[in-house]
Amino acid sequence: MKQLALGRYIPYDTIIHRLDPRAKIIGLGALLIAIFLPMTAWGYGLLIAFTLLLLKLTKVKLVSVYRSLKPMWFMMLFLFVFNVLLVRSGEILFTIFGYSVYQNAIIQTISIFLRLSMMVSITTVLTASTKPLDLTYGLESLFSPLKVIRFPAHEIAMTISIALRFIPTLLEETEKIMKAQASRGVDLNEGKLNEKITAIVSLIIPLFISSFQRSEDLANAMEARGYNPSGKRTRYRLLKWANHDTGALIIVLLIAGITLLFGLYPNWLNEVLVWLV
Amino acid sequence: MTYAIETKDLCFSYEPGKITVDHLNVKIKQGSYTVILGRNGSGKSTFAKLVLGLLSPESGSIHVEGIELSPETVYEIRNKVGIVFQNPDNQFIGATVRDDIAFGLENHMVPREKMDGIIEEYAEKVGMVKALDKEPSHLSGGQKQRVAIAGVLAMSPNIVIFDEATSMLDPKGKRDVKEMMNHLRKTFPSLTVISITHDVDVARFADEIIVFNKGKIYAQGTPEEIFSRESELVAIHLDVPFCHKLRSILDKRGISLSDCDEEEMVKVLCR
Amino acid sequence: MSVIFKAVTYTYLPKTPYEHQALRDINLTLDQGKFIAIIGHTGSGKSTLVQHINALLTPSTGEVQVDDFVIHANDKPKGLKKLRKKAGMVFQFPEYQLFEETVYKDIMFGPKNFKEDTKTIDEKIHSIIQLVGLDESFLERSPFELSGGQKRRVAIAGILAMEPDILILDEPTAGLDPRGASEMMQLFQRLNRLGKTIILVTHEMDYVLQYCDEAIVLKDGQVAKQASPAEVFSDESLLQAMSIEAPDCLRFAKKLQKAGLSLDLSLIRNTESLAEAILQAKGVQR
Repeated sequence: MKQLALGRYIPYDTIIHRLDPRAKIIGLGALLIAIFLPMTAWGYGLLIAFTLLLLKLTKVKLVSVYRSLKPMWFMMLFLFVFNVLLVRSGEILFTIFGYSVYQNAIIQTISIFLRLSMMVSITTVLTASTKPLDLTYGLESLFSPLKVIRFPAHEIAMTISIALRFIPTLLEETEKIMKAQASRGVDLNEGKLNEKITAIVSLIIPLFISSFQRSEDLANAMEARGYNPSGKRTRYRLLKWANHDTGALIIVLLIAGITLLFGLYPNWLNEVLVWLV
Repeated sequence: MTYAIETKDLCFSYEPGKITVDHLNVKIKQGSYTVILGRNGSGKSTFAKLVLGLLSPESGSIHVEGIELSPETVYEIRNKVGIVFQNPDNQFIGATVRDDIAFGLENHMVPREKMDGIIEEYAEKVGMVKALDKEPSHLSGGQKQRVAIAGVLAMSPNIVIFDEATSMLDPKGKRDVKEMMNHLRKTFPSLTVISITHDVDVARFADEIIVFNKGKIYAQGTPEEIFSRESELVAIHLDVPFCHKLRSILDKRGISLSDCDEEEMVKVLCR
Repeated sequence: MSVIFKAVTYTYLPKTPYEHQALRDINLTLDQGKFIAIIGHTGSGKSTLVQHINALLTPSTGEVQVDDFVIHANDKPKGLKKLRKKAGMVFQFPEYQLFEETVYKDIMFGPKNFKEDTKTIDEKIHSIIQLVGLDESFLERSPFELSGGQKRRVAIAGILAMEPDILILDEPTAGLDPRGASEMMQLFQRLNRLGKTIILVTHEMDYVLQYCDEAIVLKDGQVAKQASPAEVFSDESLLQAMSIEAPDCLRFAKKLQKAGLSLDLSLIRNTESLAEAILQAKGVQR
């Protein structure tokens, strides 16, 4: 788990880290749309360069991104074989044992691989540079206009932020229960299947029970301190949108936009240049 | 007289047939330090939850500073009564100490500009200023309870209830919280402090002790009055503090000690 | 069934930024059949120490010997499972480990894991349930409808059903009311008199004085003292250094001694024996 970059917050202090989470979330959304719409070689070039720039700025190591992609190797191989067998358009690249491999098969496989890699990279940029709690507040803020259709943005955000706060506590508790049951002879390595199931049950039930007790205690504590989910509250942690957030968002939207343009009008750059000169 | 807390014929059961609070008539004076003493299962924590409106009574009434508890008044009453629960983890809501103290302020619509000042003021009072940005997983039980106390005090309540607040702590944590309770009474003399416990050493310093048993009030009086009834207390699964116990044993064997002050006892015994 | 620690150290999370040496050069013998207390401030290594006895942890260096078993540094847990039967561990707030549908099934869980046959277990359970102060009517009930104190007794019964020779208890009276706590301690005393070695990790100095043959004081991962409770509580400098308060009865006895009353402190184990000693000193006839 420690080697996997995807999903973990890494506390550096970079420009990206300092951006408002909302800018990053919207930016991610825009880039993901751009990644998955039709592209040309120029589009790929632009996006790949931008992705690498973001990774560098956030101090995410390429090695960690590579490790995050490892689980997909098998799928990529399968996809490659699939494409080679089914895609029979474009020029013939080479022939093995009388079977012809077409250009488009290779191109399509590579293009999917690149898109996936970029998607993983950019998501990693988001999670590496944003504390989970800030992500939660960002999402809450973005979803809060939905209050008009009774979407419980605040309640969901509160639930997530409390869950996050209890992750270390739950991990400790799991360890304690494992030790307690180990002291009663539970051994997850040995035994028949039904024994292993009982062993796992002996861990899960106590955790569930203590979680239910915990939620009741927490609900009592929250209410006792005046919490009213549907009532008005002021906020201590506020997200402050700054000029650099606007700037960053504009840049991202531009990149996404240009990429899209390449996809829709592949020759637009030529035409613009011709028109200028 | 307006009592801090007054209940009349209060009844509550968790399950049908097993009554937990049985026609309780409690009167707690404003500004006092009352200890509610009782064995596990005597109904004392249930009582606290009823006062905060976290449970609904089956019958009877609760008045907090003269206001009757009802669905309309429950938020007002929760403003007046602060409670520190037993489990230090299960009442720590914020991601950090700061956020936890802020939680109560947010609920009470305290303006953002005032929050930092209040947070720092009360963190100072409980000795947790240096830990303001720490996460709960890096705090001891005693520290978490101190944060809970700061959070409660920041709401300026008139009544503070400690519901077995030290029973899950190690000796140092217990000492810290008990010291804080004493400090509280000195700093805020008009504050009504209620401590719910089965720890008789805490009870020695109360103005009044209310002994609960099977959901009813078994006895009520000063520590001296209550602890002179040792055999009765033992019969309901409680105990008496050390010097009371010693005095009672010596008394049966012919040595009479009037005071439960250790220095006095030493003098008498060493004549 | 003695337990011997030879030059044991234990380090948590070695080679990480969170590295922490919990035990430093522990050399200790815990004699069979004794009622031993392990005391020390939070973080002194008490839990780490006792978890070596049933091989939940294996030493980073040194070795631990429990009867015929020798656990070397970084041994793998294979084969150590048998040790968990000989040395039964009851954690703090053990009621949280209950999970079965009935009390009977939960108590049976431990013995079943050690492959004992159902008939033997059945005979045992009927005697054990009474040993822990509950009656047979509890056996078919769900553990989750019991009170906290009752649940705790069921959890302890579950460990006793494995018939360990050594019983390790971590703060077994935490959260219990005075009667519950004293009944619990009396249970352990009975078990000790039946021959079990009892190792009690606790902060309750009153119990250490009243029930234990020996007290081992841990400070910062090392053994600061191993002696009778009376000796430990008369070591003023140690008590101060560790912020430990001696039990009230001893503390008061020392005050009386200083004021001139001649008392034999080694006879004082609780308030009753203190009273006795005072009466003797004052020549009061029995």
